[in-house]
Amino acid sequence: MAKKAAPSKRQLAMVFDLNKCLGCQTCTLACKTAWTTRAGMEHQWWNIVNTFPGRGTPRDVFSHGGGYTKKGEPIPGDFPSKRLWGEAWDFDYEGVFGSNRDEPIPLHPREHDGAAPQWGPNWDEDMGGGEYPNSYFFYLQQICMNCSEPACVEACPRESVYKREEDGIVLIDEERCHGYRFCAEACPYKRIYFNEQRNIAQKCISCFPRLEAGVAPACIRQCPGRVRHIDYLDNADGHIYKLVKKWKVALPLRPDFGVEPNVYYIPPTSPLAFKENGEFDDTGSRIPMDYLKEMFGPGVEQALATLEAEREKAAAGKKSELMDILISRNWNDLLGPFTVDPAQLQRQPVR
Amino acid sequence: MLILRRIPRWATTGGALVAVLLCAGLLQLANANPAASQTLTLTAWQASEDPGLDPNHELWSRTQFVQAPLTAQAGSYAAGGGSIPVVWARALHYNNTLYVRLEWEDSTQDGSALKVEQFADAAAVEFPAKSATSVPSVCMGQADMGVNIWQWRADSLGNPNELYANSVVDTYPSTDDLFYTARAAGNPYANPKQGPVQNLVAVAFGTLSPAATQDVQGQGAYSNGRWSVVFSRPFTGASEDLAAFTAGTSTDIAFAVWNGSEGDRNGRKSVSSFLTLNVSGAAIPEPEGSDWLVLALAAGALLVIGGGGIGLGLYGLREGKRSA
Repeated sequence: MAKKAAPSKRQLAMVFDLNKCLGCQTCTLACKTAWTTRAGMEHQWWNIVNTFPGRGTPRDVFSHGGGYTKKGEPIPGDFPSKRLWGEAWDFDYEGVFGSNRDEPIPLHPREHDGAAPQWGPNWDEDMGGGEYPNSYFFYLQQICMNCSEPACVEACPRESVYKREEDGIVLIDEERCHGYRFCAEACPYKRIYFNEQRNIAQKCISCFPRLEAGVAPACIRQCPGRVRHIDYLDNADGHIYKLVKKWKVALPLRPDFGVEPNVYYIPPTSPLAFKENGEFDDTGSRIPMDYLKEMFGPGVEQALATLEAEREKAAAGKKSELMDILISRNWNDLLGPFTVDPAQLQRQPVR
Repeated sequence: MLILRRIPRWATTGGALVAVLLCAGLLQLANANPAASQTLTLTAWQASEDPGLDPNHELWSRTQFVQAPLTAQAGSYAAGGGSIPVVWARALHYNNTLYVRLEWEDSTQDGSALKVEQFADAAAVEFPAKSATSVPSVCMGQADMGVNIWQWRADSLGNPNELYANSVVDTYPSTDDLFYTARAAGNPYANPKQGPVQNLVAVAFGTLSPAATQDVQGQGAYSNGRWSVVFSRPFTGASEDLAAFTAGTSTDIAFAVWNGSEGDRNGRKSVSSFLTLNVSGAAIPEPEGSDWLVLALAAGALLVIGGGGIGLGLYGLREGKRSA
């Protein structure tokens, strides 16, 4: 393998509260309009929100290898094909709006070879798991995890993927990238796209030009549900430190991948299940605990218990620091040190 | 081995000599030069006219080839390749410009990398930099002895817009190069205006970078399960980190071939070791036996000598048995 990433001096981290996400994809479109509107990026969704349990984006997202074993050995990964990612579909506008048509035809999407789509970026939205009346799901937001052990960095033979020393953001140097896609194979979260028109790999850049101007990333700032928190992981007064280190309610996604991701999730609470006789089954969560442990690691049981206890405390009118953080009555509190309003920035005119 | 020991020495020696003569004669007729890799020499002959970039130019069929064995790249991550066992190389020069033609068998034409799961076929030639005082490491050179690599990629033939031929795009927010970030950063692989050949320099693994001057031309053609690719560049390199050629002198040349359908890219490739590239001042030699009469006479002589040798060998074997 190529070189491992050197540890960064500080690490920027995020916490996404799965209990507040309403799946509106405002984050997805905030990212899309900011970064991936140009030719060759039509199919790229650097930020994606999928329903889980589900197959994700690309299809069967966590089954394509990558990451490390417990001994730190790289796990070979594969390429989900373009079809598993979901193409940017075409629509027969001419057929629909053509003037010489006797009968209207419906606006069916088509893949570029004319075939009907078999998968797309949010294909199984809201399907979830379980059976009525005990069905369940949650929305899972995914961006680049800016891992502390980034497999993509080690996989790149050209050293064009790197982890920034000042904030631990993982970036691809587009001047050096030759489009070999070893990084895409190595990423266990499959968050790296291929731009076939520019012959390079591309992914979420954590809105680093915004961060450098003191502005929070677009997906975080535009989230209407106040789901997303950002700060440096070592800021003991910040939300991230308190949620991850102090309260231990924010957990990494699929910690078994061995890459030490820096996006953490508040695991989903769920209502009680119904017994066959229609009564509440108060023995556990409706979302199976085994599934939650697979997704968020063994700490999820304690995290959910803590959330439950603090919620009850707040409901009883007592003060709960944890609930105050998660509610974030002051919106800017979510943004850590990145509270600059982009509308107030002096903008450089584009050439 | 008992029987062998009883064969008279003159018979075995004679048989071996005849076998060698037979092989040499056949190879001469076949116009091939499969010398051992350590001593393999590719001669760039002086062409009488400009061979141009067309791999099917008539001059090439009259030019003797060298058959260079290729192996999987095992020296460094990402190791792999090896699906292309051999490349046939020819070289010419005309008007102080070097032309190198590579040909190899590949049953799959991977001429595009338009989807995340696709990789393109490619080929490269490598030379020591002009500044190198000795032969650099064939594996991307070393700090004080760099290499100059010319890489041709089959996807340069493809048009990315083909994939989106049916797509409907109302408008892109901006088509300014500034927003095509890789291109704006000067990444030649991201620039559709760049020709099919990249002129690259390297001084170690991971240092491969585009040269300041992109003056290498090339053209590839695929037919009947074979790629043939011509590279061309004027003798004089624009800088010290590039290869330089002079008629009447020798330098070194190595080859690499990537098979896209095998997932080859970067270090996953089939590679040769360095061969000697002799830039000859002489014209393309007429292949021996190109005259049908000479050819027939040579074949006849070989048959007589070969047949006699085999006969002698058998006679010796029988006599050896009888005396036992």
